[in-house]
Amino acid sequence: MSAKRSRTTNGDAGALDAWLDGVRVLVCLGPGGVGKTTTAASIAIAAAMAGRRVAVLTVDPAARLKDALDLPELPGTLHRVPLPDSARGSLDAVLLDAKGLFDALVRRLAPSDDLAERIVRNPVYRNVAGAFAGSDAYMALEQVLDLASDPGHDLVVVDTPPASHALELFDAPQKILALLQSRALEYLEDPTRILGNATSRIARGVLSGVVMALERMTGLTLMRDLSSLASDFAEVAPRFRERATAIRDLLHAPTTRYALVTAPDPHGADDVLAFTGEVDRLGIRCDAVIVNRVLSLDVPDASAPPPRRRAGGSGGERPGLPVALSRRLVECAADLAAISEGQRRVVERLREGLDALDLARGGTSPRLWLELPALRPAPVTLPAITDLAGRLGAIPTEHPRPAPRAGRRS
Amino acid sequence: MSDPRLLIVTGKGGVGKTTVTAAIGRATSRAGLRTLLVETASPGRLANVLRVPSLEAEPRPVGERLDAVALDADRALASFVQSLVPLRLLSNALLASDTFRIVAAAVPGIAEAAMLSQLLAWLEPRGLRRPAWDRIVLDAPASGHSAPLLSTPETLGGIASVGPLGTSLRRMSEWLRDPARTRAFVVAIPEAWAVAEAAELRAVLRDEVRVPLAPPIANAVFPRRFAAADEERLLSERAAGSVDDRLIAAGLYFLRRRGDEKSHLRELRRATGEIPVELPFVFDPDVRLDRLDPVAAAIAEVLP
Repeated sequence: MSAKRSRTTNGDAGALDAWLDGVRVLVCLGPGGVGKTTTAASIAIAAAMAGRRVAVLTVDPAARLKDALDLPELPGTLHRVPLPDSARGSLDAVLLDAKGLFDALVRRLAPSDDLAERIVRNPVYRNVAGAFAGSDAYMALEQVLDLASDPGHDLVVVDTPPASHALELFDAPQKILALLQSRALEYLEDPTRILGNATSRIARGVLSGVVMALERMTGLTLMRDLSSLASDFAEVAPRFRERATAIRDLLHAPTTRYALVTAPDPHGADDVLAFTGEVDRLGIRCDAVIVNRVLSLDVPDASAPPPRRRAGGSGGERPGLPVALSRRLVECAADLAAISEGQRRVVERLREGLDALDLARGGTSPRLWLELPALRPAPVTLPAITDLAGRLGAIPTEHPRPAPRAGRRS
Repeated sequence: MSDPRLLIVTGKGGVGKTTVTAAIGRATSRAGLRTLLVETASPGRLANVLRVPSLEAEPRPVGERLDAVALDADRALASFVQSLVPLRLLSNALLASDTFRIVAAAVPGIAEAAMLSQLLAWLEPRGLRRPAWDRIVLDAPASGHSAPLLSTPETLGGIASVGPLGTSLRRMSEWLRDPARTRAFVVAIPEAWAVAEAAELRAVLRDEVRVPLAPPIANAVFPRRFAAADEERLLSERAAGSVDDRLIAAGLYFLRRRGDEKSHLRELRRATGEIPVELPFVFDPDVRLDRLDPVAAAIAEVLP
């Protein structure tokens, strides 16, 4: 099936299954543009093929992937993805819709319909909602919580927004808890209390100037809308606090695991290491690393001798390769070797950086490393993604690092 | 000397916006134009290409006639508040409070507005000072975030009719719509998802934000090394076993990748109605300014 299987994968698809054993929630993290959504989908398919009842939550998929997974137009609803007959489990896909979900959540948590309507119709609600919750990130978690407690699924695969926003993901529950526990909401009813003890007339004067400037800029009766929202929201706050605590617990549950998805691009290692460092400080470790789009060609070393030419010269029946063509082949091989070398360096730096992170934490279990080949054309159809799922053969953990190649500058 | 121009580089994540930004800077600075590169997202990338440890909130030189700066939303908002509240003690207390963060978040686009007014301060310094740069190149946020940033003057400027922010938003709006002064470069790579997204983003920028567009940029295009007839030749050589298989495989990879890319370039042309500018793939694993000359040369042709 896979003519271009990556050199570094050994085809042991069992390793991924074993790693996923006992896992209820798998969160895929990583920078934008590395194929995270596709990778999350292929992991979900692989797990479903192996017998798990999987739900995959995707965030902002490209239109063609949406088509490939046959995602419904209506976000937030489950849709059964048709899998090959050999599938032993099942796969449902859900498209995240932060906007609709927040409204739904407010409606669900509010003690009365009137109150819910008042909150949702508040002119500054939409923007404030973002600050309350980290918006998209928080809503992704809300939905994960629902899916994880649904007995119809035993594995939830979560595709997250790009790395810069994924931090908000882990911050979101803490942020909303901190906010609800702080007195900020009360202060909103009398904004001049922001300044605490600075009750001098000057302070109040300056502040009301700022507020007036903000109001002029927006055309909103900003402070009045905010304070009425604050007092309405106070009634919903205890329920929000429960949800936020449950979400925080879920993120740190032993049955929740994290996979880092990245591509071996020149900038890849720096971005990813900065990100994993920050995630690590929040107590979250990526136990699996999936390097996507690895050039999987076996290219001759640039220092290898030029192609053999047959003896016999110009008049023979098989004259061999013309010099010009053979030169071009050598050039191609050298260019591909340069790409491979760059990718190797990025992966190496990633390994070193992650090892250093573990060392600082006092050593932890080895990670699962997977590599997915760069496919042309890119896998954007269901059969192509299913094929990719088949290639999720795992590298044995802690596999030997590639030996430095002889005769190469490093 | 030249009147200042604003060049905006945007596109989906992972298409090489930072590389294109750096290559534009390379081209303009070498053409004698004083250039400022502005980083707004993915901190560290531009610094990496420019080989400096990091970029600061103040422009600093990174090469001959070439400066770079990091434009950060929080910092821009802070300096905006400081301009409103001249007492540092009060403005700091305000910025540090949860309530202010909520109030600020309730104002749509305020962080973006603050970023744009910082940008304007670089384009049009106050008083009689002359602009320090002939070209300002903005490494704008990825697709989903750049349209909100660039349309801020419209959404917010319409209601922000008075005050310092209103004035600077109006001026920024003039900048963003003036084909003589501003050009947006939407970057794609020759792959299906990137092409589709670039076409969508161009439509939004043109119809809703109304920013003048440069031709579509196709980044990281593989070189054409073979004629169509060569494929058959390579296949028969492989069958004959006369040449190292891996060399043949390398050649076939180029041939087929080029073929695949060509179909996406055609689609980019069809979907945008314009001939894309093709920038060459950089094979060197060290992406740094002095290795970007071929890219700089290719994009120089469409620089204002």
